[in-house]
Amino acid sequence: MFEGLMEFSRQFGLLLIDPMAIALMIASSFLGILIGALPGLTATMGIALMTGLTYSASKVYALTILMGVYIGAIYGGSMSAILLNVPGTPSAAATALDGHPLARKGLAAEAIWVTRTASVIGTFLGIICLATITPLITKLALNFTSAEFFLLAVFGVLICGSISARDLPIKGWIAGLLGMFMAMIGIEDIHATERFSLGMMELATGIPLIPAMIGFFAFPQIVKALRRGPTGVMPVIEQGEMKTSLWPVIRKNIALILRSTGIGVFIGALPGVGEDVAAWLSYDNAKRSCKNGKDFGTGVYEGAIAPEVGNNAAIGGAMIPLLSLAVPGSPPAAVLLGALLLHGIRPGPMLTQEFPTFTAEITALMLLATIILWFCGVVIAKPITKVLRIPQGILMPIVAVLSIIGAYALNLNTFDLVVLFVAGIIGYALDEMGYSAAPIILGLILGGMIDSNFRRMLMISDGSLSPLYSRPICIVFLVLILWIVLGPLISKKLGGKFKQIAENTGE
Amino acid sequence: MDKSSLRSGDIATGIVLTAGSVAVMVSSYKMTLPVIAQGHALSSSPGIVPGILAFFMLVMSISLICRGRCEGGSLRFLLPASILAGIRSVEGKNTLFIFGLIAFYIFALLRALPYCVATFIFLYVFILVYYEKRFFYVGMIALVCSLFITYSFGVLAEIPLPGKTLRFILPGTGMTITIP
Repeated sequence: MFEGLMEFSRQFGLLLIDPMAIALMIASSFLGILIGALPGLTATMGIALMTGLTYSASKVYALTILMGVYIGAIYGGSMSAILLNVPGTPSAAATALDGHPLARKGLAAEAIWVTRTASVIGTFLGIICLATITPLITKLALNFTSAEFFLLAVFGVLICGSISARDLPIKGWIAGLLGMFMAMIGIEDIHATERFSLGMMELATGIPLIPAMIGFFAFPQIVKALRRGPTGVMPVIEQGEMKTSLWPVIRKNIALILRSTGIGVFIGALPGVGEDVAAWLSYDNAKRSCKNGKDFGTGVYEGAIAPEVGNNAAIGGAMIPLLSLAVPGSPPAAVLLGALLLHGIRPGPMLTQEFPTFTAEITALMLLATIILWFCGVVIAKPITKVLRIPQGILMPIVAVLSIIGAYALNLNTFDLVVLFVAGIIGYALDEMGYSAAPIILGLILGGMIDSNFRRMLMISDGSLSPLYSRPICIVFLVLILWIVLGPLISKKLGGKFKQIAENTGE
Repeated sequence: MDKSSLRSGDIATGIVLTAGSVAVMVSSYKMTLPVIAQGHALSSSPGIVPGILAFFMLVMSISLICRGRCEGGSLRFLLPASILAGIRSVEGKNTLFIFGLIAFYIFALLRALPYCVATFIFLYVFILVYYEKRFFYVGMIALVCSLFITYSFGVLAEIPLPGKTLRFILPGTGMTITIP
């Protein structure tokens, strides 16, 4: 523990004396806030774009940019939620419920200050959880065998599918299966057999992750923003000056902040679930637990604080399984995993052996990003009203151009542009039919892990499936998987039964 | 999308996925044959995991079709008249135009022209259609954006950009001009 703290302090000190890292963090935090604030651009899309664009940068600087964009974008979404009533990112949707009414009461500057403070506190508390919980899970994960890794990956894809599905849970699972199937394309690890590549040389190494990610996340947003034709400038509420200090409001809501942090970290740590669910659950919890719960939706500070703390704490939470188990906790973390792999870092239980200082490095970067976010937030608070007036008709073609550079820059291969385009079309079609892109990408990332670990387990056990139900951690994962798959069915059946009983008894 | 359209879409998706799952199961089975012939265990076959995934996909696809049918979905939207109506709607036209323009940029402009020029044309047309019809004003926006993107990514960040590089010698001066 003490060694970890020393290493963290050393890494943080190294960052502080590196002017380039500070400059990049400031620039990327601004960029992240802009990406988050502009409706149609999300944190996941921003990280996917920047992964391609920062490929040639050194590992430290690339991660500096990616963490700055990640943390900045999750916060930035709240600005448009407050000023436009249009959440910049899905994770800021809950913030709009009370943030915008506050702005309409003439308290826009206050609402922005409160959400910024809540975001910084949430991220900071999330980082503390990351720093303390990751080593414990990594130690536990060192005992994992192929069976545990296989079940963990299956659990990750299934829970991500269940929670991110907008229509039916089965669609989330189908999306996860599609992603896993995409991961099967190319030469496999054990016998070096080429699978499903249709004789195409370019597919022998598999589907390139970054172009596919950019296609799935960016193209549907571009089309959705403009398919109804030209859009005008959205009405933005002007900010006034803050009239009173709001520190007493923050102090009064310490318990709410701690509760929302707990929810955010827990939800963030669930594979693939993400910041938006954390924000909604935190908002819901605040509404139930606060004395003024009935006033939620009319413009109360608690309604803006809770979701912002929740979604920002989820960043730290999402990094816990990413670093310790190589299973991303949220869609942006899934993209970040792709970026780490590109830079030669293999997260998972062996991370502490292969890259002993990496957890401290990432924690130090996140802390720096949090501190810089506060200052960037103060600087950008006023001019953001002008930025939010950029019409989608100008913004979206620029996003398309950047997506294409991001997809191409990695391998300098025009085939990657074909993958980008095809992924964009499929992503849009699936999005229209209620499928989320998150489980597809998680399946694409974890598919290889599922394949190799399942076969390795079978080879070690002479074809027997017994390791899946004879090891304690496996049993826990199996129970969780069964709960995810059968839970909705059981609750539906029980719900129906209770309804019938209630009808029969005349209640 | 309304619920009945969603369910109709589910039936169509379910049919496509069912066909795909069966094809993957057959391919997976074929992959196991050489492994067994070589004396390896069936469990190490490269087709085993895709086969299992395809099986689950098949079950879910059939379930999706059944649910779609039960909740009032149909395949009527695939009739030529319905497809034409969809394409002729504002959303259909715009969706096709946007994907068409992006495809034209990736597969034609970037293959034939320098990045800067191709990006200028793409941005000009896109912004003209979806923002303002003022030709000169939009031209200036597209020019500034394309030059900024080319310079900041291609020159400052040294990221290789797609597209052809044009080099020509300025007559009379002997200077070589390069357009990325």
